Amino acid sequence: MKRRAWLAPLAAALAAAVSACAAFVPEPDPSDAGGSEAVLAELRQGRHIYVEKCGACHRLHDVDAYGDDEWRGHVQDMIRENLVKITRPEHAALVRYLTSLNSKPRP
Amino acid sequence: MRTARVVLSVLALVAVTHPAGADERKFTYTYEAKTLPKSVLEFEQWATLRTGKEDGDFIRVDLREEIEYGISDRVTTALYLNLEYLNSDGVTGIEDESEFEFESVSSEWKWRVTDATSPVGLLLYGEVGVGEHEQELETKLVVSADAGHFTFAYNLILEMEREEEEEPSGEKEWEKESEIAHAFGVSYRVAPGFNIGLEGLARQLMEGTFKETESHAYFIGPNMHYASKAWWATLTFLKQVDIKENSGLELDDLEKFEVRLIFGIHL
Repeated sequence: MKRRAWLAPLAAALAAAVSACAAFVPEPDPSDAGGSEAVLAELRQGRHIYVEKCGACHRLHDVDAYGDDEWRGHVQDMIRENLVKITRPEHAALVRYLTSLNSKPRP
Repeated sequence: MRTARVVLSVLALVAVTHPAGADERKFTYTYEAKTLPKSVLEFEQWATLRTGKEDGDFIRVDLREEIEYGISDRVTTALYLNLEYLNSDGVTGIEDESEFEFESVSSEWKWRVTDATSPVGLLLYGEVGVGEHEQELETKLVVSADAGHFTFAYNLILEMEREEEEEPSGEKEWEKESEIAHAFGVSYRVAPGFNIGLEGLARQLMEGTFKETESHAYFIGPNMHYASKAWWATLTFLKQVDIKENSGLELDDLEKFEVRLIFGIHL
């Protein structure tokens, strides 16, 4: 029993290290949408698409890792290369989320 | 100095030309908790070379052609065609032969349980293979995590197989075999789209349906992964190692060396 006493702290340290490396993908709140319910709904849809579709096959990048034009370019590249298939409204929601929340200060 | 400059130039080129994502399988024996997004289609070509017995010349190449499709963002299915090339000459216990044959078709299903914001990803995997002389069921519990430039993955694998064997009397009999295996991988992102890493595999071969352990085998070796916008490739070299003193290598059913290459292209 004693021989494995180091396992629990090691597991906790590993879990903490992995959690600390989780991508910055903030939930939008009313202040991000300028008080508009419709915009807030679109931002939430954009985040959902980013997490579910983009995160399906590659690690998520921090939202604040790229500027507006870079995000638009990356999303366009992924669609053009058939790496993701989304509708025009989904594309708009995704880009709106990424280009709105990339300037949000980290907590 | 000149070599270092060339390496740095290649890495810089890779970094500039690589897109934001598309860093698919970083391992060839170990799965990560990833699926394809809905409606996305991908083709993968697998080639696994196995060689090295106690004596003689032995080469086996397993080829798998895979079409993978995202049914939803969390459920991916795939269809495989499994082919085998075998050349055996002077190996004790194996008759000399050289043949290339179609082995089986397999249906693979993956369900990603967690979403991408979860610090640790979890995926359930099932595969059914059916051929004229063999049937196979394989399940996996897949756990993976990205931490900075590192990716960690672990798979618990349970496999059951039924194979048609010809007895010395000429009669044919279905023989049951099973296996419990642990696969793990660590990968480090050297540049966007380019990873190097290490993979390991611990295999427990069993008679019947998990009835009695026949043998253990342990493999370990390096791997590398490259992903461009439209395609990716991952290569692993594994060597069987004797980690239990004096127990020797398992060379009746397995080989000393395995090399696996997977090439994927988005359709």
